[in-house]
Amino acid sequence: MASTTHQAWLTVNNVRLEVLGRGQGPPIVWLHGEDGLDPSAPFLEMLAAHGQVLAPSHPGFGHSPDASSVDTVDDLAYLYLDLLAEGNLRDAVLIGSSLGGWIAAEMAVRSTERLRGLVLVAPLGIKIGDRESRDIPDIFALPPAEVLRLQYRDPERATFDPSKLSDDQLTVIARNREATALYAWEPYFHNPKLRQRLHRIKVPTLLLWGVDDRFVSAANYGAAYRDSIPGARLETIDRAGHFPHLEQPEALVERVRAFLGDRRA
Amino acid sequence: MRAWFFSENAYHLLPDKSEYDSIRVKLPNRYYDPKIGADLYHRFIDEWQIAEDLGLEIMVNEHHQTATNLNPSAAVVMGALARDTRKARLLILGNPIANRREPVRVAEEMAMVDVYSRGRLECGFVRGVPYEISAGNHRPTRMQERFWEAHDLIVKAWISHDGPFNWEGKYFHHRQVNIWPRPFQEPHPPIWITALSPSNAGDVGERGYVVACFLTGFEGTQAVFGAYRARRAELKLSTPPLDRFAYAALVYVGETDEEGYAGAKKLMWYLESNKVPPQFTSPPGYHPTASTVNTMKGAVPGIFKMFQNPALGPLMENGLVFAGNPDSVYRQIMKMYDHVGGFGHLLIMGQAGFLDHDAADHVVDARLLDQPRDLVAHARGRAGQDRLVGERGVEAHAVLDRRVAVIRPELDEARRPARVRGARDRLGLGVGVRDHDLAVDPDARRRDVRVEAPGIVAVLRPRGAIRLDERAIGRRRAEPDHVHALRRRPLHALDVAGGVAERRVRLLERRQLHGHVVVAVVLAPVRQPRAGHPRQDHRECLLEHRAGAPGVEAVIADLVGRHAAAHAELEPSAAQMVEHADLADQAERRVEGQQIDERPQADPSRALRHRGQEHRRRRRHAERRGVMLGQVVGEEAGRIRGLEQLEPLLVELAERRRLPPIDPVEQPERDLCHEPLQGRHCRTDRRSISGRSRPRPAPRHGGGSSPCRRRSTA
Repeated sequence: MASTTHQAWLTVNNVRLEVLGRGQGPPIVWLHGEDGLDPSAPFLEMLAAHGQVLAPSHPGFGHSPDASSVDTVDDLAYLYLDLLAEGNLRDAVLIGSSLGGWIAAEMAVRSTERLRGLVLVAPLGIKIGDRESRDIPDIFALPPAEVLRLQYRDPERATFDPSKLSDDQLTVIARNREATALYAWEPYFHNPKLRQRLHRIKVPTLLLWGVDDRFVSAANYGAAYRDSIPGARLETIDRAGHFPHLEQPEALVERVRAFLGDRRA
Repeated sequence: MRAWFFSENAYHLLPDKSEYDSIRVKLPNRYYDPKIGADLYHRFIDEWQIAEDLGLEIMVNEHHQTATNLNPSAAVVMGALARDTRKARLLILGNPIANRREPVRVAEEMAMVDVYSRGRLECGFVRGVPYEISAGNHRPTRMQERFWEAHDLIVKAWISHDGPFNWEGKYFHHRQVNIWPRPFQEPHPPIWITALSPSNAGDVGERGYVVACFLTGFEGTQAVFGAYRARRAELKLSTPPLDRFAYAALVYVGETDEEGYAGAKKLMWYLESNKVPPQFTSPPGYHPTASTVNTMKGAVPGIFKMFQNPALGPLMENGLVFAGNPDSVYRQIMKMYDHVGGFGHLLIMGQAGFLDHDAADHVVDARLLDQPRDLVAHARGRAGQDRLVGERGVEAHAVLDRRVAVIRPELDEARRPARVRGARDRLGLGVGVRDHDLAVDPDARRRDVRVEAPGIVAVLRPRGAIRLDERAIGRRRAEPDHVHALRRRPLHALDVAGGVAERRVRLLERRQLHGHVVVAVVLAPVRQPRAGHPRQDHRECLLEHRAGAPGVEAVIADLVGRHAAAHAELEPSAAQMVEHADLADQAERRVEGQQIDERPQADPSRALRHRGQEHRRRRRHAERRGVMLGQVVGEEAGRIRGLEQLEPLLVELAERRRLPPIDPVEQPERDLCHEPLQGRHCRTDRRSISGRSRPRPAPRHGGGSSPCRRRSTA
């Protein structure tokens, strides 16, 4: 299947967004996590085989400019609901990874009108432990190497040599970190109210989790998520950490395809 | 230039650096011993007091979750200092208002310290170092926006005096803002803001606040000060005076260069121990993206390289450390001064870590005794800037030229007769440099202030000139401090070939904000024209002395804390009084006993007993005790009467005998046993006896009100 790739700029509610578009067919919206969106990542190409992938960079990430009106995940959720409405997308499959999973969940508790299904890949966003238990390791207080060890099954693949990257690529890396701090600093990677609202999600929901996710575990965090969303399924992906779309893109896309296939049937 | 003594109140008793990975944020406080900590707090506060005694101003900052600084609340330690000091300006630099949840609380605390210190607070606002982000759990992004909103709210809280106002901003919400107390200073304490890069210096400049640079070296400081000045020029605002600029460096002055270097190396503990991993030094969003990218590429700016591996040589070369003997420190400071276009405040990091790690008992320690000497050295370095005349030769001459250039406009102004309004023989020249007099809108504050040149406010005060015969010494006045030049004869009287060693010019300087007047009597200079530099006129003589004298004098006066010896011109010395007193003739003269802490000095009016000065350390007046005579049984004094009315007879006898009532006893009203006619059975009212013979001065302690009152044991 010949896929068409385009990188476009969309303006939603005066917020300018860099959006990566790929493929054709039913809309698949990908919301990236704190790792940002790498246009060359193979999983995007694979996903595009199953529909039209729309992958915006959240304001402050990638090349999307900062937006003074957007500084919370709440703002992002409404921004993307508006994006779905303005693009008149219907029966969209919404996929979010980590921080993006949190955004997707926030969208879904507000409205599933334009959604056909929801795929949350190791989503963050809920609080499950008591006030003295940190559900999510503090990436801002840990040595960078330790953060990679927690988030990747194979940290080697995520380490990079700054001297081999262009200024633009380094700027994107720096901006991704800054934007993550903007949205996730406090409360730390969660909305205390989200868990009690997850029951509102009425569309089919698939939770995907890397088996080797040392950042937030499927058994604990994933199970809590699953239990809060009616009818949700939790599936794990072998040999993958917190970002399965980077470490096991084929497996991830296969699960998504199966999920879509199930629904189509 | 004003010098501020700045101490970080470090807790230095840490395990070896290899045993912890961060001195900030996560170092467990089990390493902190509160008992030692208590000693350290008292020691540091003592040091600030010593600094005050030496004529330095006081600076406090705050940091959180770190062993490098045990002031998590600058307001708390400043509250203590506001009470334990009397004259120094109190600078908090500063309040990390981008990290504080409640700016209104900051406004309250600062107003409280300002009132408490009777208007000595200088209030700094800082963004906070990156390591504070975790302690405050405030997100590091968009801090400037939050900072300025907090600033706006605080300033509005300070200047609003008509009941509550509303604040529903982006970051802070208060519907009823109405702080009590309001600040002592009008309209509010002077504001300082730190800037480590030019990016926000412009915003500070726009508002006319003091901008402070910390350890930014020659280029960094020049960039910040330049951005400040450029913004003001761009907006066509007034040229900022020098007191809008402050520079902080590690400073250690020894008797010799070697001693200075050794001290500076101890100070460097602060830099050496500052072991902080990158996740705390670079929280995302704290630094501009571009500089983060540069850091990722490994491009460390030179100045940060020095922090990574601090060594005295490079630090001194780059102007982060000023160390050596007084002269060389002076030179180093002036080099920085000249490079950055001048600054009016030197923030002396003088106690960052000059603690001796080798001595086992260095906490409750002998070093504290050495401290005054260290600080004297600091003060000498500071005073050195004013020390011009003498052995310095060419260099002194250059400095003199600069100072003359600075003061000249003021002198020119003074020569205009129209402004003097007939008071030609008593011309007062004020050089007021209280910087909040210069703040944003000088016209609104003081109509007679005119900005003549950077750093100088020339105030013509014909009526305000202090007349020597008004006994200016010791008078506390509410008005700002001035340098006063007086002349009793035309100035050209000085211009005598060969000079005359005669008093012609008196300079009165009330040391800035230091609560007392320093008097410097300057002899008319013996003219020694330097080769190639003939003085053009008498004014340079005047200026030279004016520039040179007060600094040295001030240090001495501050050290003593009072006028140790009476001024020969203005007050008779105690010795002179005794010498001229005819004690034989005036037999009644009582010689006051001297308190232990009292120096021989004239104090004739008695209104200012002890000169109103409390014991600086103990916060109370020296207690005056009555004389205790051993084994005296208290007797009830009563009306003179007795068996068979004998007493009146005795009284009459006493009168007839006209006994000389010499009574050199300190507390006559308490002394029952010194009358010659004291009989064993008499209850005598001594006052009634002596009172009839000759009037006596009233006892000082009110004992005269009732001669027959009940006495307790004397």
